[in-house]
Amino acid sequence: MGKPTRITNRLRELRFHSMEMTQADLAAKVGVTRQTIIAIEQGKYSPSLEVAFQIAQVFGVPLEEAFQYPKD
Amino acid sequence: MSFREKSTWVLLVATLVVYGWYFATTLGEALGAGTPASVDNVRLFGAVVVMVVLSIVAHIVIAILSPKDADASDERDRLIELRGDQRGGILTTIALFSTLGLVMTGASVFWIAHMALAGLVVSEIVKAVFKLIDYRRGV
Repeated sequence: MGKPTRITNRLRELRFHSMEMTQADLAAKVGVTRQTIIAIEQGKYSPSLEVAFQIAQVFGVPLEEAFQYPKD
Repeated sequence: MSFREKSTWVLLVATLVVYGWYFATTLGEALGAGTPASVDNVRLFGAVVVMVVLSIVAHIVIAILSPKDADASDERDRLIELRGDQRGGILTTIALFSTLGLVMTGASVFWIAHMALAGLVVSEIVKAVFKLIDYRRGV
């Protein structure tokens, strides 16, 4: 049980704006399981940099538009 | 629930049922008998075979129920796997030294063998429980 991650993300919103892409579609594009996308959206899992970049690429946005980290 | 999480549930339940039965019957007899206990080869071998067959059948069923997810795993599954193995590994070490302790105190082969087996079984159970906690609570 790691510390809850401070990384937040806008995956749900980005999916919605990408013609309501499903979690399964995103998972298939990035090559992870659907449960991992669910865990990321719920803030229960911080993906590796590799997967984070791939997710941002799927939506065609810079990394920081998909994932954010609070200052301080 | 991902394929790996279901797989972990299957192995946990199968381990509890099969080795639960094995240890309940074997230790029950050993503790009740006045004579020194000996290893029942048929029962031990039977438990191992039943465990393997149960796991295979259950995995086939999981795969049939959701064919798309069958055998899929990713970085999150691997991380959870590693964290579980790391924690269970500590128990395996403790069990090994406990077994050595039995050897040094001159315990019978029966108790030495069963201490080693119990150590393996308990660490598998602990691994599975930690993995399931990680799957639910997040890593």
